Order: sequence, then C-alpha cells, then structure tokens
Amino acid sequence: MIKKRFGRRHFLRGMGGVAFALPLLSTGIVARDARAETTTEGVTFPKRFVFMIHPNGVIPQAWFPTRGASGEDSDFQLGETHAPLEPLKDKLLLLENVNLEVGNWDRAVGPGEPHQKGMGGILTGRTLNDGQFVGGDGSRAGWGSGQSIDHYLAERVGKNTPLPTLHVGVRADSHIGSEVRSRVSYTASNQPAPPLNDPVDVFNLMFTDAMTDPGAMDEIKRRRGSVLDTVGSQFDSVYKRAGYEDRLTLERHLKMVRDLESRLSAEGGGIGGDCEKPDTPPSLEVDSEDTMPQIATEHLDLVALALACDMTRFVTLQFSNSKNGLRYPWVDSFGDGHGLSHAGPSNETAAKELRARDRWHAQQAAYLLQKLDEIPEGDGTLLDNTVFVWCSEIAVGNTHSHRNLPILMAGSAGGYFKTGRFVSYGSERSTNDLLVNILNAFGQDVETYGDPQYCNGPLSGLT
Amino acid sequence: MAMMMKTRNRAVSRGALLLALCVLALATGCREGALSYEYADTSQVPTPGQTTPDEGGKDNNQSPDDPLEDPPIVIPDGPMAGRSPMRLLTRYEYDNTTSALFGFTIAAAADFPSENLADGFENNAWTHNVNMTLLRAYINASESISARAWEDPPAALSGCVGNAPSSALCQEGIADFVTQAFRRPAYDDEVALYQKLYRDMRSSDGARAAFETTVQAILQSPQFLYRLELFEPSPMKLPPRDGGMDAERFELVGPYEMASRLSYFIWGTMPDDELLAAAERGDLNTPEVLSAQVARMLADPRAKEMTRQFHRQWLGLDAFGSVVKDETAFPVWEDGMSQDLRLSIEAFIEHVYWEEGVFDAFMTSPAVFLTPELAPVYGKAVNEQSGGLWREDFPAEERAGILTQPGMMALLAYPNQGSPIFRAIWVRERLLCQHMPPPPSDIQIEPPDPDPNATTREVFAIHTANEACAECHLLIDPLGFGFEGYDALGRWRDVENGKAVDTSGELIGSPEQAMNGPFDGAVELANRLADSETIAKCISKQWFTFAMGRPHDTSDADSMSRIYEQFLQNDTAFTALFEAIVLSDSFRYRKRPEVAQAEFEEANPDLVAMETPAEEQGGE
Repeated sequence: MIKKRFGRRHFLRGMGGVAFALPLLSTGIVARDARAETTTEGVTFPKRFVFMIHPNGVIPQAWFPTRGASGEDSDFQLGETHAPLEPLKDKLLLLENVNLEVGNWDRAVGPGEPHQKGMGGILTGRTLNDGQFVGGDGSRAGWGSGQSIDHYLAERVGKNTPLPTLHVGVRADSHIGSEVRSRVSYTASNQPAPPLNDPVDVFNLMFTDAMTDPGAMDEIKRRRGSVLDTVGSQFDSVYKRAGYEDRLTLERHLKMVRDLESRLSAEGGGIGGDCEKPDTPPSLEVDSEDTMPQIATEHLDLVALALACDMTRFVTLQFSNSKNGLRYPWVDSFGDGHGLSHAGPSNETAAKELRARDRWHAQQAAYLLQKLDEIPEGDGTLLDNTVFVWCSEIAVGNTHSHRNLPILMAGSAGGYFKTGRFVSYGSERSTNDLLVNILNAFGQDVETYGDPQYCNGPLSGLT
Repeated sequence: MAMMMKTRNRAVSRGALLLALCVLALATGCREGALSYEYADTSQVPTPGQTTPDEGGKDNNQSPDDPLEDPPIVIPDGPMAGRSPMRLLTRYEYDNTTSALFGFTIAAAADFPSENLADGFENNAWTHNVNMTLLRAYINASESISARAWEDPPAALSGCVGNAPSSALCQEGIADFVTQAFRRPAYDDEVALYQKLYRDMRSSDGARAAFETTVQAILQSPQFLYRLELFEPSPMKLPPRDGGMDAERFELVGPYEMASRLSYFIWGTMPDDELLAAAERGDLNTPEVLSAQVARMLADPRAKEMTRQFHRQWLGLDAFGSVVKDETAFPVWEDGMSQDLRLSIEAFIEHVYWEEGVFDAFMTSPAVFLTPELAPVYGKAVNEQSGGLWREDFPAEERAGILTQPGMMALLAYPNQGSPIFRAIWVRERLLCQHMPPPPSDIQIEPPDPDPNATTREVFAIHTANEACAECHLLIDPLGFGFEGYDALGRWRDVENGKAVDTSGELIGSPEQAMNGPFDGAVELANRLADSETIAKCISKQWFTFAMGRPHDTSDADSMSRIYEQFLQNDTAFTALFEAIVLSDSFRYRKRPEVAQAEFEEANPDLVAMETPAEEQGGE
C-alpha cells in the first residue's frame, strides 16, 4: 500500500464504480480536541467509532479464534466465520469472556427478555425502562434508559461535523417497526435514534444539495441559518405559553435545532461540504431479501464516504433486528433467522445456515474495513484512526445467554489500541467496561459508563 | 433431500422456538390469575374515596405471589380528565396537513424516519418525538414544499409571488397563513417573527427567497409540527353538569384545540373550514354540537382513512412488507401476494366498519376480499367484473371475522409454517388486552437441544409434560393450536401431511369465565368471543389510545366506562363508539392550567427550581 502524503487528492470507488474525491482535510475542519485526533507531521486526523451489530448471536465454534501453542495473545488463528477478515488480521482485536452484564438474563437484571435487553443495553450500558413492548416470551419492556456512547461522544467531539452521528440499517425495521428490539442507539433515555434503511435516504441526508458551487452552498447555508434562527425564536415564543410538561418536550427539540444550526454554519462544514457528490444510489425495494446484499453494499460505500469526508465521526450499522424473521437466500439459508438461531447444537442443518450468515456478515465487515484501510491518513489509514466494534445482542441464539458476547474490534483509534491480538479475560468482564475503553480512546477521562454497578472500569490489556 | 431439510426446518423453527420460550419461562409460577389486563372498567376502579382494590389490575411487573407494592391511591370524587401533552404530527398527519394547507400534495413524509411505536401506535405523545434525522428531513420537506408553493401558492400567500409582489400585501397574507398553519389564531409576536424574516430576506436575497424561507420557517416551527394545547385558561366556559366535572380543577378544552382533536382523530388532518368556523363561534362546547360534527365527519370519506390507519397500526399491517413465503412449500405463492393480502385485510376492515358497522361483524363476518392473484390460492374463481378486489363469503364453518382472515393468518406465521405462538400472543395482546407476567428472577438455564427430527407435536408435548413449563404454556399453546386449521398462507386445511388436523384448543385465563374453556377451531372461538365483553372493551380501549395519543390511566376510568356503556347500548355500533369517545370527559376536558402547574411543581421540585421566574403564565 503506497502511503500518500497529505495534500494530494485521493479517490475512492463509489457507487457504480464512479470515483469521487476526498476532501482536503484542513485543520479548520477537524475538531480541536487533540486527544480525539491523530496528528502526523502537523496534520490532524480525527478518530472515529463505528459500531456494527447483527441479531441473535453466533455459532461460537466458528466465531472464536484458536490460540497458538505459544499462548501469546498475538498467536492465534481466526475462526472460520472471520476468514474474510484474514488480510486485516493485524488490525483486529478479538475479545473473550466479556459479558453483556446489563442483560445477563440468568440473573434478574431489569425488565425485558434477552433480545430486548441486548439491543437496548449494548451501547447504553444500562437496563431498560419499563414499558409496553412485548418480547418473544411475552415479557414487557420499554426503551433503553440512557444515552449510548456514540451520542455521548458526538456531544463532545467533532461538534462541527455536519452530522453528529450516522445510523444505517439493512432491513432494521423488518416485521416490527421502531421498537426496543430494533434500536441500539439512543440520544437519551427513551430517545432512540432511528437507522435509515434506504441508501437513498442516507445519500439525501449526506448530500441534500445539487450544488457543488461553493458560492451557492454558502447562500443555502445562510438561508437555512436564518430559517433555523426564526424557528428557534418561535420555540421561545411558544415556551412561555406552554405547560410545564410540554416545556420539556420543547426544550429537547430546541436543543436539536440549535445543534443543527451550529453544524450547518460551521466553517468548512455544511451538508455536502468539500466532498464531491457521487451518483444517487439506485432506488431499491428496501425491505426485501432480494435486494438485501446490494443495499448492504450501498450503505457501506456511503459510510466509508461519510467518514472519509468527515461528515460524521460516529456510525452505527445495524443488520436486521432481534426479531429477525429474515431469510438469507443468497447464502442458501431459507429458514426464518430467529427460528434457526434457537436450534440446539445437534441440529447441523441449522448450524450450517447460521455459519453461512455469520460468514456473510464478516464479508460485510471486511468490505467496509478494507475500504477504510485504503484511505491514507498521514502515515496510516482511516482504519487506523477508527475503532470498529462488531457484536450481537446475545451470545448464542439457543441459550439466549449474554455471557461471553462475541466481540470483534478493528482499528487502533490512532494507535490507542494494540491490535492483532485475541484477548481473553480470566474473570468475567462487562461490555460497559469496553465502552469505557472506547471513551478513553477519544480522550474522555471517564472510569465508568452507563450503570456503574455493571462496570468495573476499562478492560485491561487492550492498549 | 430438500423435503427432508424442510422438515427439519419445521422442527427447528417451531419446536425450537417453543422450547426456547419454555426455557425462558421455566419455574415461572404462571397461573391463570397471573395474566393481567388493562381495561379499567367500573368494577375494577375503586369507588370514590376508597383505595385501589387488591384483586385484578395487578401490576404487570410483579411476581404473582407478591402483594401490591405501590402505595394505595385515593381516587377523588367524580369524573376526571387525564393529561393532554403536546403531540408531534405523524407522517401521514404531516402529509395530510400540508396538502390541506397548500392545496397540493407532496408526500414529503414518506422520507421521514418511521415513528417510534407504543403498543403498536405511532401517535403516542411521549414516544413519537423528534431526532436529528427527522429534523433534517423537515428541512428537506419544507424546501420542496416552499419551492412548489412559489409556483402554486395557497390563497393567503398569493400576494407574495410573481414578478413584483408587494411586500406589505405579502406580510398581511403571512399573518393569515400563519393562523391557518397553526390551526388557531396566531399571536402578534409569533406573526412578527415571520414577517421580519420575510423583510430581511427580501432585502438581501429578493422576493422569491423571502417567500420560500418564510414558508420553510413556518413548516419547521413547533406550532405547526405539534398539536400543542396552550397553557392558558380555556375561553369555553360551561357550568359543570350536576355531579359532574369539578370546575375548580377541570375546564373544557379550548375551541381550536377541540377542532384539532376532532379533525386529527376522525380524519387525520387539520380542521376544515366548518370546524374552524365553529371554533371561532365558540360552539364546540356542547354534546349536541359535538355529536352533529362527529356525524358529519364520519359521513365524509376521510373517516375511512381513519379506520385504515388505526388498523394498520393496531394489527401491525406494515409487516406485510416483510412477509415472504417458501416457494418450495407453497408453489402457488408469488411475490406481490403479501401486498394483496394487506389490501384484503384493509377491505375487510372497511366492510366491517362502514358497511356492517358493528363489532359482531368484526368478529364473525365470513367475508374475505380477494384479488385476481389471491382467488385461486383460496379456492375461488376470479371475478372478472370486480375491478381487482371483490368480496367472497366463505362457508361459516371456515371463516369468522378477523381471527380467521387469511391475511392475518399469513402474517402470524413463518415462511413455511403457521405459528400457534404468534397467533396466540396476538389474540392475548391485541384482542384481549392481556399480557403475560414476566419470568421470575431465579431461572436456571438448561440449554435445550431438541431432536431435530422431532415433530412439532412431540416437541409441544415436552412443554406440557414438564410441570414448570406447562403452567405458562397452558396460557399460550392451547389457544394457538385452535388455529391449526389455517396454514402459513392462511388457507383452510383439514389435513396436514396426510393426517387429519387437530384444531382442538382451549382458552384459559380470560377475565370472563363464560369465555374460558375448550373450543374446536378458531371459528368457534371467534363466535364465542363475539359475545365477550373483554374484546369489546379492549377495542374501546385501543380506539381511546389512538384518539388521545396516550394509553388510558386511572383518571380516565370514568370516561372509559361511559364509552363502553355507549358502545354496548348502541348494539356495538362503531359510530356510537367514536361518538362516545368524543363526548367523553377525557376528550372534552383537561386540568385547569394552575391546577396542572401546582401538581407538576409538587411532583418535580428539582425541575421547578431550574425554571425561569413565573411571570410567564397564561396568554396575552
């Protein structure tokens, strides 16, 4: 891989093979938080966090690596599921014996059943609110009860990027719509952030203007700013005439309007920014097994572009949801996903289908990570400045256990994590602990995240 | 080989799912009385002055053996009204409102992220809220609409477009338009903000930019996006009826607010001119006027849209978009049939609500609506004269009401087999308004490893053989088995794999003893439940939730009883139900602002400490 110096334009292959230019990352664009950036030769690159999730667990025998004879963390063979990630092995970090403690359903931990708890707890580090969503066993639960780390970070880092966060879904709302089993990201308790399932919607979010002419862009931004300013004043006007309960709603909405306003007016920011806009993605049937692989690819291309153009630093990528009534016919899996995941270990037919699905998910991860690794940033690549985390909301579909959650990480967040290892914990640790590691990687001096009774501080041995 | 694999998949999908559920429910101590249900009728709600009863109405999150943990509540005398929080327009409400306001249709809300659900409904005041993606979508939508409006302005804004529009004239038009957009007279300071934007933009960017940005600002303002009931004394004053509303604590909802409550409930859009005129006269304050308006609105075709939207949410019909069926198991199935099944259900609802008009038909009508593609699947000839959708009445032994609609059976199923569990939980949750108690906190997990070659019945037998599993599963499995007469496509069958289908089932644990007991097939169940109060009450409750944008709570207990009484006394006519909802105290009244404020302050002392000084209270 030839490393290019900062100052040249670099190209990514976009949708339909159309090449598009990356922006020149100037210090005016990136955040000024040195700890959330990597600086090489005086040029600063931001750090990113990307979270990927697929539902209903994995086949552990295919997921977890095998250790080499030396017993060193760096001496391991990737599991069969992760064969597509072999070329990136030295940038991976796999974990063992980290539990989703806020779910751990064999001990009573909050309302809900394991799928609900997993989805609502993995990034928030908290148990669920009480509520009326009916889970697979009839249990009831509400939404997640806290802010997920992507939004926590977005409030503190990269405050000038056009999009605070980007949430992308591949059939994320299938069968059940927007409820606790189909959301992982939360701005706050009871405030889920919806993933966009249609690549055209993601595209429109990223590039709302046909203009690439900077003068026209400035005009649009200025007008939008005036509109939002008037809108903000209307909030003030209504606020004094609204009841107390309604004031809370108004405040919450207004805060978002102000955030939007500031991002739109940021120097070098704004929708579109310096990135050349690629072609619009094709308009595909969005909730269909026939288009699912193609839609996944479109989304991954857009995510790579969004990160490369510094449109956002924080991405969640969600495949399906934990009800998962999907077939994966392109890998010859014709069973209902959720039903298959319940099969016992003796059921080889089901295991074969599940392994094929897991492998396909790994191919998606590999596609994205490869793309990120092809974008030079200083002496390294965009992937080097990223921390990517992939897991599922339960460990194994058959038992619904939250113990030993399958977690694969990639990227070192600018050298913060020591990658190329398979790290196993002797005593059980919590996914909340990993959230702390990630926050620390972004220069956030916290020792706990989410519910502190399920957090022991950052995981050791990752840096 | 394919057949064998498929059989294994059957055992995997159905059996393993059930075993896993059994594992989840081990030692749960389920028993009949542990089902809880949410309909608050007068027999459950304590009489005034008493504390809550300690039977029925158990908190869902309590183990059946624990006594109620909540402190007793003392219910004040007389009828009450619940909360009326501000409500964000849903996607179709946004589109309908902008269409009515501008006179053209851009279905901009199709690009909005989907609403967060609460009990299946999209319009819950607290759950349906904004997020950053939606705010950006509002920007895009407002820009599309404003661009179109420049070419095709609404009447009030016609003075703003063209070659050299008069700024003064336009600003007057803005004042009128804002009142329409807000669905109420606008305050001077609200209008002034838009007029200032217009003037500033006009001088810097010209007439067109000024017009468009002003329209965009209106469409992104909270007064447009939300149905907000202002915290000021209602101008509609009536002495309370005898023994009725406590005038110290409650007052009628304001006239424009009532107009919006009516129009968004019955039509899913902003009030029409007649409603706004009635609001202006202060007329929407007596039961007589309200009844007349309800009757007028129900006769309008837009009311059919209301029942369609309600059932789309309540029955989860959007899931048809995700439905696939196994073409090997069902060669007759084609892509696109799930959309036809959705139309079939919608047509059934329209027929039952607007032609038959009574709850009994909802539960027992043998009508099934078919398309040319669906007809052969369900054994009927194509009706060439039909225009694509027509009604067939199936034999009474095969079809009775919503429970046996082919579309519902196909929805509550897997790609290659039906699902007794989905069907049973649907009946419990959606039709009986019952929900299961949670598993207890001391479960030991034994990972199940079912024989992949076991048949479904063999797997089921393990459930009921194990005492701990059986207790909960008796609430689900026997109910679901009654639907075995309908396959994964919802087709009637009496044989499965060469053997006679066993459709015997049992309903236990419903709140009416007369409804409990064994039955043979869903048709018998449907006919039995048609006489049930439980489902009729549940439906009342669901419509109330939809109309109010929130579930009922204890303060709505009196309203709920009256609504239900009216429904029953009018032979369960749906129009009577809708009228009863509108005439209920919960719909017409709200707490007086100062009372609401005092209660809020008492409950939230920390929040109040942060509030700005209270010179802002009430309107101008």
